Amino acid sequence: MHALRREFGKFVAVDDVSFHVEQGEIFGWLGANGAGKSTTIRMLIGVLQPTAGEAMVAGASIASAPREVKRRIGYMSQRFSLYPDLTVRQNLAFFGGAYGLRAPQIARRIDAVTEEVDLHGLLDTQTGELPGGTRQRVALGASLIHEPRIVFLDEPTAGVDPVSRRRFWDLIRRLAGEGVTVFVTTHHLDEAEQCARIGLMVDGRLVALDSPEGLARTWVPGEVYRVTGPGVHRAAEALRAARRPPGRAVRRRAPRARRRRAHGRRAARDPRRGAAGRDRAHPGHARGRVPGRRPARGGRMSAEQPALKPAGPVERFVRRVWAMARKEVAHVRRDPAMLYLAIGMPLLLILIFGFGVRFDADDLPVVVVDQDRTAASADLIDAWVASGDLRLVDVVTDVEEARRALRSNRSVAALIVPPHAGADLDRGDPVAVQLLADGTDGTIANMLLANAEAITQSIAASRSRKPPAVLPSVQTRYNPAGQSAMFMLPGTITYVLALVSVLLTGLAVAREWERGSMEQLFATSVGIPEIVFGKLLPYLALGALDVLLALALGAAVFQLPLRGSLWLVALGSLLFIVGMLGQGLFISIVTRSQMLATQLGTLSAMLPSLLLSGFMFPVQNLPLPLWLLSHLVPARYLVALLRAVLLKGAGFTDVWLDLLGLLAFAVVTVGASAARFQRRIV
Amino acid sequence: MNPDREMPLWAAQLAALIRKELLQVGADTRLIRMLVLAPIIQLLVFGTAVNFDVDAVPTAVVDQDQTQTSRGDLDELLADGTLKQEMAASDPATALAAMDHGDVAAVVILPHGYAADRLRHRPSPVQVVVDGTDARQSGVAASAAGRFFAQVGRDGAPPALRLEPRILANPTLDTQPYMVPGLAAMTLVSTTTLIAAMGLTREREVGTLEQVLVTPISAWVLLLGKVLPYVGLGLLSTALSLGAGTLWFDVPMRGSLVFLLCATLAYLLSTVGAGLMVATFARTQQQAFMGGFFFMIPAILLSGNMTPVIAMPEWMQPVTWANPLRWYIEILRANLLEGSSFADLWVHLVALLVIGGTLFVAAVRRFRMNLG
Repeated sequence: MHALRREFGKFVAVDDVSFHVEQGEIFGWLGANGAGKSTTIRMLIGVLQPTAGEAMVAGASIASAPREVKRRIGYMSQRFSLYPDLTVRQNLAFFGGAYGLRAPQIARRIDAVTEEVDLHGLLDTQTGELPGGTRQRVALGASLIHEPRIVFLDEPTAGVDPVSRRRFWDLIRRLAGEGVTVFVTTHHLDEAEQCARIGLMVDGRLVALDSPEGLARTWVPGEVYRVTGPGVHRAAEALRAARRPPGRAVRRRAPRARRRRAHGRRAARDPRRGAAGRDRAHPGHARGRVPGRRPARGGRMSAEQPALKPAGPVERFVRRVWAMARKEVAHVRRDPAMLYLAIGMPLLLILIFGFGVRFDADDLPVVVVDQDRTAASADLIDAWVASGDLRLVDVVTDVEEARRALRSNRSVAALIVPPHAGADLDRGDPVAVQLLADGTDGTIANMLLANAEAITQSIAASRSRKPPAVLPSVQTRYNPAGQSAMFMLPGTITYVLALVSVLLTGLAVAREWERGSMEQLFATSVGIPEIVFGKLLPYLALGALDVLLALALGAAVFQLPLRGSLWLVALGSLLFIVGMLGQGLFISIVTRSQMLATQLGTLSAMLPSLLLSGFMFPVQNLPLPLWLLSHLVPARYLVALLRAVLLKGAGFTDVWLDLLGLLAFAVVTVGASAARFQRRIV
Repeated sequence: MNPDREMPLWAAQLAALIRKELLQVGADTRLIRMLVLAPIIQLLVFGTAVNFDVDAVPTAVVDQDQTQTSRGDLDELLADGTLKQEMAASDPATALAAMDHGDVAAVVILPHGYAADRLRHRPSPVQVVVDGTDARQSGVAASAAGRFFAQVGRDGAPPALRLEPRILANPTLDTQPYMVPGLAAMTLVSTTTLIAAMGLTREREVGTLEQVLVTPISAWVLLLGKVLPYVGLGLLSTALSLGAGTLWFDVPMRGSLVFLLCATLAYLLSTVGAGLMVATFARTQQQAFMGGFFFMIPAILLSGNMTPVIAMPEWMQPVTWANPLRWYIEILRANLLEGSSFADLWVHLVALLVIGGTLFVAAVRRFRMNLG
């Protein structure tokens, strides 16, 4: 390998690195975190292209033939990277297939690998259930499945106990004995000593390349002590303490009680700092930092709270909730994708619903079949098409041609004017025109029928000789222009809230289960109510922000009025958000998986809010079982409330039942998740 | 490494990928349930719920005339069931207050002297007031009342011009036959796009993707191995949904099944392709979900299933050309209800293939780029 270089933007991760490794050699690759070790490896295994330079791995060039390289090498990463939900055998078989082995070959290699890394009796165990040391052996086995000539091991023994580590290194030596080249990175010095040669990287450069003994001679001047025995840690502590200024050392040894009290004072002074106990976890680290700049982490709360000025139960509760909430905010801020969803989605949805979701078309394409072909029939057609919401696509003479236009969706209806229609009409004889309508979209067909009926009636009335005996006047209240947007927006706000609340909490909490940080929380003294409220608060704020955004946008773009009290809107929305957050929490407690939580959230919150809430389909039209079910859908109450308050200016006496429904839902879901939580822990 | 001549390397790799993917899905019984049962449940529940028929609009009648004629006409007005009498008020103010309260959505007011006017053929000023918050319902109520009183006004004389409507494909205009196929297509988006996006991102999160990338699998084979299992699951789900649709909702199947299969494959290519595309942008499952969501929601709402595409503003209609759901729903409706096939719908099929192909190729390219 020669003059290898890799840049990430301006940052040069690996700078001009050249070396050569013999076949069958155990080659160690050392360096601090960030020194460029992993980047070098990722280039050598053909995953990352070098910016400059060239390397030959197992006789193939990483720049021009990365696939060939990949075929000849094995790789095991510092992260455990097999499929935890598959068995050992399934994992091995998959990677065999990925390297293109045939079924009989795979079976043979699985046997061989089982022998090589000693997986007897483990083949049908789920990989995720194995202890760390064994897992690493399986991972090594998977990287050997295709008999590679070189294996790259990136910190293979990170987090593995000493016994397993020793066993693992026995395997590595045996591999090298069989002629396999082993390229290994490590942090453990005792492991580095077992390598034939070691390359040392500092800041992207290879600064030394020698045998372990040679390295020790040139790089560690003075005497090297080897300390063994049970007191090693204490000895190291003592050495370190001796180097520090005396004052700090004394403080470090201060009695625990005093430290705790000192901390208590600080916490009492600064209510934002509910997240106690971090000092205990990292003594000496937190000291001297500006308190406010410390990241809020609820994950490590101490078992006892500070004792100097005993905080009341309410204050303690508030403090813990606050800590939880701050941690949640930190999560959201670290991953702004959540914010995009919470803020972008309402905007997008309101624009889509406001502009795109309409039940009224004023441009229905129609073909006319004129079988009369007289000036009178042409007049009739003109009169028919000119009024109303129809657009004439074509006038044809053949019915079959009209049907073709219907089938290919060029028009939605065909009007058939029969022979002699013009003459009959002039004479005052009743005329019947036929309308062939495409029924594949009932909404369009209904619109069309109403339209055509109205036009026909008005033509008939204008040709009739007697004046009508009844003159109906139709008046539309609240939304005289009949804009779909007016009707849609209250429902849209509801829908957005349902979506954002359920899905965001669902994802946030399920992620915490998946990553195991929930267990960590339980190990602290944070109670269930604190977790629940702390989790909900930030999302409650996001939801409230969404309501305001939606109202503002609705008013600005679609002239959505606010005829009633803003406080009623706020109260109803808040109750609704709490209820939906509770539902999201409940789902994530039950599923503990992000993928399932999203699917269940979609099923149980989004679709009912769309279909059973009266948003798009009137509730009174639902069949009885669904009508009953719709009473359990909180969106139903909020849609009704928002429509009444925004469009009609309804007051508390008009909507108190809806508020009650929302309140009941919120109490039930939050209570149920708290109860379910309790059971999960015990 | 692989001397096998019968089966090319990529095929062996693809087979291994698909087997692994199916094993993983199979091991997660809850996921299986979600993928297979959820669409069916959604279809059954929501297929029952969707109903665009507007009838039994709650109505208040105010009969200020109180004659036999006025009572008779009101009875006749209510007879066809579009309007349903919820209350009878003696004065308009009470009826309108009931509308404010949300108890009724329409008010019909017959004035004093209604019977006398009719007898003498003087235009009698009947008032119909509708609640415009629900534009569709108010439109239907208004047109029903208007039609009725126009007919009464003619006093039995035959109209000069009469319309004889004949509705093709779905003569009774039931909502289900045209909504249920679209609902099936909608649920497919959530199971294919989202699951594909999150599945690939999970591999990245867990770290298994890196392990796969060091094998000599090419980006094409890798993504194809991700696509095919989900396309298979999608096909299964489509078959189940259509079966349920035919048995439960009387959705007819008048078209060619071969064409339907081709169209479904093209559609699934585009939804799974969208999922992979999203996955190339996402680092975490959450991000993948959100990306999938930003694709899914507009795709569903602007598909023409709930509200017709031609009702959208003109500048928005071309936007729907890029929406695979829009094409697929038109195909489903035309194929199932009208029996249309290649000859009528080839444009739609081509559109789906172009969208799906573009998404897939773009996903592969972005995936490669991410690695370099």
